[in-house]
Amino acid sequence: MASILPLSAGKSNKPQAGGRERRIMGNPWYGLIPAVSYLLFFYLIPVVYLLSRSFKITQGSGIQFAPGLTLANYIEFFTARTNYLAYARSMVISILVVLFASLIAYAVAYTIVFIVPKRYQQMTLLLIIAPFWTSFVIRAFAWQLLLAEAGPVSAFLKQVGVGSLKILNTHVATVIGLTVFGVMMLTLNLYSVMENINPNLLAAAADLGARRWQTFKEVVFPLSRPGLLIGAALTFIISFGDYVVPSLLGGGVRIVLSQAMVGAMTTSFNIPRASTYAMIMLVTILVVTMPILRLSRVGLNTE
Amino acid sequence: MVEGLKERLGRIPLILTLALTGAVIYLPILFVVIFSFNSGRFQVFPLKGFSLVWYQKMLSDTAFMDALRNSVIVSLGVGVVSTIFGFLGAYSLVKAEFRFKDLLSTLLITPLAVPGVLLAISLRVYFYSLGWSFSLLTVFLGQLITNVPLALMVIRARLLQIPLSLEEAAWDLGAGRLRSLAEVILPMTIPSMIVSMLLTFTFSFDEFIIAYFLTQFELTLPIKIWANLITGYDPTVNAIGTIVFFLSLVIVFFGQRFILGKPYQKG
Amino acid sequence: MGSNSIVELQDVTKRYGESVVAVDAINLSVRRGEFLTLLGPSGCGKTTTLRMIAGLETVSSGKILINQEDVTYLPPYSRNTSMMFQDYALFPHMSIEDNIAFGLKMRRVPRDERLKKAREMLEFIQLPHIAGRKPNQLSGGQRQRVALVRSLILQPEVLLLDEPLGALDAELRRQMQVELKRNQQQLGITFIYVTHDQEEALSLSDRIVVMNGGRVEQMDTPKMIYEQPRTTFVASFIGRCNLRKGIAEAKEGRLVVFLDAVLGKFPAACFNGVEAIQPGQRIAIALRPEKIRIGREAENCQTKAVGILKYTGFLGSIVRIVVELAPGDEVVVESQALPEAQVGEKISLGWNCDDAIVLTENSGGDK
Repeated sequence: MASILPLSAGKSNKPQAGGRERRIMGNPWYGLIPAVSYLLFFYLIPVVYLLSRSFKITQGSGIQFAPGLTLANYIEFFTARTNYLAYARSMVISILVVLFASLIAYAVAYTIVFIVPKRYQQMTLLLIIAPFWTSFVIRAFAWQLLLAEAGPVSAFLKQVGVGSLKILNTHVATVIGLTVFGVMMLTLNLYSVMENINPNLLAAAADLGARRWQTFKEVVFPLSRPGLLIGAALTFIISFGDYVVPSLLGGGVRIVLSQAMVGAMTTSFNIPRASTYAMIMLVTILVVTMPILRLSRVGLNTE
Repeated sequence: MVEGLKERLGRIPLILTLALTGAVIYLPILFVVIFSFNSGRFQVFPLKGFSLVWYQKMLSDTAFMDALRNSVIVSLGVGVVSTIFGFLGAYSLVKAEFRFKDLLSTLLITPLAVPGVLLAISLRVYFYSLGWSFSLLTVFLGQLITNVPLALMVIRARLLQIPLSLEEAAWDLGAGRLRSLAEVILPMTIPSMIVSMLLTFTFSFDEFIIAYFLTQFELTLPIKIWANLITGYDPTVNAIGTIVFFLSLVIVFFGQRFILGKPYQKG
Repeated sequence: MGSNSIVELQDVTKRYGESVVAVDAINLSVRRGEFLTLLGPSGCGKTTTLRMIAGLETVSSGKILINQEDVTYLPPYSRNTSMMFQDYALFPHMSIEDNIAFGLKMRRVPRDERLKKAREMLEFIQLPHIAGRKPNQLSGGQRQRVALVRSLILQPEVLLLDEPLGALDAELRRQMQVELKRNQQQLGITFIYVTHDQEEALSLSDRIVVMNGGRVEQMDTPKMIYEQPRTTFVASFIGRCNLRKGIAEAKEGRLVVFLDAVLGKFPAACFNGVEAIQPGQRIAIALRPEKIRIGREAENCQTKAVGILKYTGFLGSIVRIVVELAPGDEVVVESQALPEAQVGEKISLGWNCDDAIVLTENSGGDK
């Protein structure tokens, strides 16, 4: 659900006097108090607390922890087959989703910006990405309905004589469901960078004798790369951490990391274990997205 | 001439991709809508016939109506509080100067990049260890995590468009910080605050995973839908889905000018 | 400084961060009722100075006095100054009359009364019919007028104007200059006006402060600024100017200025502005293009030279000529009549040394 805006972290937009000077109109930093203190108490502290539990083991039941720190949970994670299989599934699913979604979304965004007539552009974009803001659960449910063995697609295939569709409750369905979501996310990010490409640049490239493909390779792609990278990073985060789509479409047997995490929390109520999954999820996301985001920023700066 | 034709032909695969993507995005929802008007109990073809029976069932289902009411209460709260926090935070972020400002503004949007399930579980453990009981209040507190940053970004984008000279002119003509805020900044920011409220309301209304972990007896609509799905097919979900989907769509189209990044004309 | 001065700046400095000095210890004394212009290239600190007077920018060190009262740390809303912004800063969500009445609203003047005042103001600028419109429905000139009266409604003693005509096209600009000057004289308010347009500064101002690199280069009447610039920067920034470097020497007890091989030596006494010159000092001679004579007129001049005519440009009332004295050494001349010589032919030049100005090289200089 993240970016509905290009995710620029926000450099302050004006140079300002050194902080030690007495400012005549005051320095209204205090407007940040509600948001910052809320996020401190209900975001930062809870997340850090949860992550810190991964170095503990429970004592008795619930939220009592044995004293001292331990790596037992991590050792368990890396030795138990079910665990690293769940991790591998999440990883493979996310990579496939990012790949498919990037390819499709690139074609979609390119078509909207450079082929669809100007006055229909915004409307077309809106149609493609509008479901992005509608209920995630309902969309996953709709896919469940569509892909079911007794569902419409299967019925159609039977009619044509291809045979029935047996992908619901497999991760093929998970990849399909998440890819559709990723396409919307990436299209939005790609559109906002492609739309800013000055059409004169394309004309200039053509004027200099560049073919369509060369124009694309030398002008369009480098300029759209930041949007592609940011969109891909966000798509990865959503795919890697999502719980709803793998559960409704992928079934509950071959579980992914988020399902393992929820399971540790709800069925065995083992907070340290859930916390270990959380830590591994977060570290993976950081390791994967940080280089991507750094690359995208470099791309922006050279513009 | 030949060159032009070749170019036109080259576009066909791209246009087809666009059309196909659109179809794939809307196809599942189309079937939800179709089945919601189908009188049959099972979601299979051929359709049995047109009927509003699932809509009637939905309206007479008190558990559903309770969930709807709960969702509206929480979402209204999230929409209003996120927008207020967001406005105050955005104003300070744009107007104040302090050390580590860039770092703080980056930190403020990180909740949008953390998987919801992780946020949900961390808060569940946190509230649990604080000894709080789970209710709509904890859902509300949990959903603010992503919606405050969202509101802040939306409103900040607008504040950055307002020339600094307007507020300075107000000061120059006798207004203090608060007065210029009320007379100049606020009226010019209201459109973006409405958009922020609409978006955060929609996000909260549709949010599942945080609500799922932070409530016990008071269900919100997505949890109710989820519960119905887990326990087996109930075509009422089609009716609920259709209504929720179109409701969200209406809100999005209403706020479209902002979403597409061309929110305001220079005046 | 006497009670005659309404705004005074004492060693006012503005630093950004550790290293950037935007305004460097400037001293100014603005007289009551005068039209004072801060003139300089962009980045010279003129706008920062204006904004410090308005209270919109913090002063790093030094003092600002308005009516002999220290206002250095007073907020803008407690100063009896008004600012007119380059982009006019009209509130887009308010009607024109609400914009104009804004200052009165802040003073809690009742609505009827303040709107009456606003309408009077609109009468004053002869735009009574636009009261109900929004700023984006006005033309550039109308916005400028509205911004002016919005600043005037609180009857400030000092009006600060930050390039108020910068956004207008040339024709409208000239019209508005006349109007601004007339309004200023009619109302008797002190204007402090910032511009980078030297023509505008020369035609409007009672006095001009030429700024460069955060310092004041010269503060004088337009006539003095033009005719007796004190630094090479002022000489070259205001109007066109031929600058020639040289050195001052003492010879038989008298000061002599040695320019170069082509132009030779001159007794220093005949130059303007010679009082400050010491022997051994590097100097520059500034010669306005219109002070140089050509052809037959040159024969009566104290100094003569012969060069090659490189270019002739007809500018309507004058003719601009470029003459090459030596390879790479060109002089610009403005004359009333076309020269008799053709481009490429020899032409004689002449000038009198009391038309030239001697400048010391170390006084300012263009950074």
